[in-house]
Amino acid sequence: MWKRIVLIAVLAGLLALMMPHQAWAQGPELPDQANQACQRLFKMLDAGQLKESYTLTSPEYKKVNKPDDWFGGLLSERESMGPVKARRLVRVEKAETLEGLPPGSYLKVVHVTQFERYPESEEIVFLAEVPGQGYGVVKYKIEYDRWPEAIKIIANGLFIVFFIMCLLALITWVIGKVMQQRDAKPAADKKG
Amino acid sequence: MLGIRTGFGELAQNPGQLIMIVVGLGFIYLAIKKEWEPYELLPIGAGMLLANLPLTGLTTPPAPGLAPGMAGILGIILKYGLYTWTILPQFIFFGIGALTDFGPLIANPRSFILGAAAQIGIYTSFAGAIYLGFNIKEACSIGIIGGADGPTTIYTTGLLAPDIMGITATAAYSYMAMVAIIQPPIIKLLTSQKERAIYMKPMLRKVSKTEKILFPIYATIIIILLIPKSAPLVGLLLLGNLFRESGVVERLSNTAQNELINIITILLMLGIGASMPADKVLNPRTLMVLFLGLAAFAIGTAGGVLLGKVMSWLSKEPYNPMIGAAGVSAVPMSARIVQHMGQQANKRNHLLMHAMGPNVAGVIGSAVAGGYFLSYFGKLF
Repeated sequence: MWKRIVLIAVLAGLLALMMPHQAWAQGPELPDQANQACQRLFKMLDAGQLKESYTLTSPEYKKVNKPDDWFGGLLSERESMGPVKARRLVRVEKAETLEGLPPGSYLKVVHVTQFERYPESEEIVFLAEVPGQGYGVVKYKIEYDRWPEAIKIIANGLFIVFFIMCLLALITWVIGKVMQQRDAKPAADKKG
Repeated sequence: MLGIRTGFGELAQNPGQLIMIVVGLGFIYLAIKKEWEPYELLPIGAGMLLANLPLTGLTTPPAPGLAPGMAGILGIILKYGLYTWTILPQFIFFGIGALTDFGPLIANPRSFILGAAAQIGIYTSFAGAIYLGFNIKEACSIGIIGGADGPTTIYTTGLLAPDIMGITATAAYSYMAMVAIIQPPIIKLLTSQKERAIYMKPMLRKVSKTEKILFPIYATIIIILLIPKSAPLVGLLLLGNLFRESGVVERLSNTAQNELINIITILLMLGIGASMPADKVLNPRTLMVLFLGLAAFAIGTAGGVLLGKVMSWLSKEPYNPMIGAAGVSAVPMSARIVQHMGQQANKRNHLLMHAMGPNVAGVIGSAVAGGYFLSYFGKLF
């Protein structure tokens, strides 16, 4: 009896693994207009129109934030991610509070995005409904594991600093020795 | 009543600007009364003050379509000097090169390694910034504060994370001003009285003119071939030094050491002050940057001292490990601290020339570290 149960469980597990990923991950519900707002934002960001994407933010956002607040951090972060290779919607949640904005009804839309430099990243878009105009963007952020790259930078950076300084020390020492010998020769000749 | 809009109402609506004005006045006070890095902190404070007084338009950057005369002087300095062309920190490096005597470093090449060890603070704070949620470019800019090198901090941040440039630059210069407060406790913590009292012969060997001329040439070629993006900093630093050591362009060298560096300092520091409007600075991230910068500075000092201890242990001749603390490139303050503490421990000790070696090596080390960060992101520019 137990053997059968284990066998069925193993088979079910194998079947689940063989099924396409999309098939068993139920697509989250995202209102059409909200999806359009996300796609408009992605289109601009993917085209490098980071500053221009401020136009897609909601009037509420524009009331409290200047263009600099929108693209300030975004510029440096997004540019370093590289081009987008793939993007998939994974989650939609509701949120009532957002830092720097008045309490309200917000939609948190999460996509898993494959950037060239960071293949496993999440793009999170917060939307607010604008009466009569669909949805406006109120926040956009990218989350990814920074540590693998950070460790690489630390290791390589320390290595290159020490390598260059040791190399300069060596060359300076050799040149110093040659110069000291060269200067010592005439002095010895003079004495001689 | 006057027929114009005054700034009082605006100031009442934006208390953040008022806070920044007070901070700017604080910098001016510290520069004048306490003489803390006055050449830097006075114009930075003035820039902060001017940039945060409302309705002046001083920070309006030049832009296509803007009516003639509408761009503000600080906006012009910021745009062309710091954000777009970033020429100001490079010219400062040129002047620093003309002012620097690399003789103590050439006489004692071991100092290069101490200059490298003191850069450990940069990478530790970089890791701290990543932990606190800064993105990688911002983390590079925060880490570089630990190099205790203003122009490198400004140049690197201007290219990688211009949004936090004002605060990283101010942190770098403020901490340089506070070397006498930050470094001694760390040195004391890591060395014994006996170690601090180690006597070293005051004189280093005499360095020939040929060596001094050759040094900026081969150092430029090696560093730039290995890290091409460090060229704007290292190239100009060593070019300035070549002008100085060649002895054939005295007028140019004098100009670089005096008029040029003074003019650029005014423009650069005013620009740094102006890059700190209240809405960009008054947030929790600023406190984190200040904390990480301080940690970078402290860890850099510790890294230098610890390697100094290793060298002291390996060296055949007496070697005072405190010298390592001068590896942070706060020239010449760090070297002076070592000299002062050395004399406190042993009145016969004159460590200044020994400490100047790692001190100027630190300038090269931090420029190399900054250049590596820029090269890492190089393909994005």
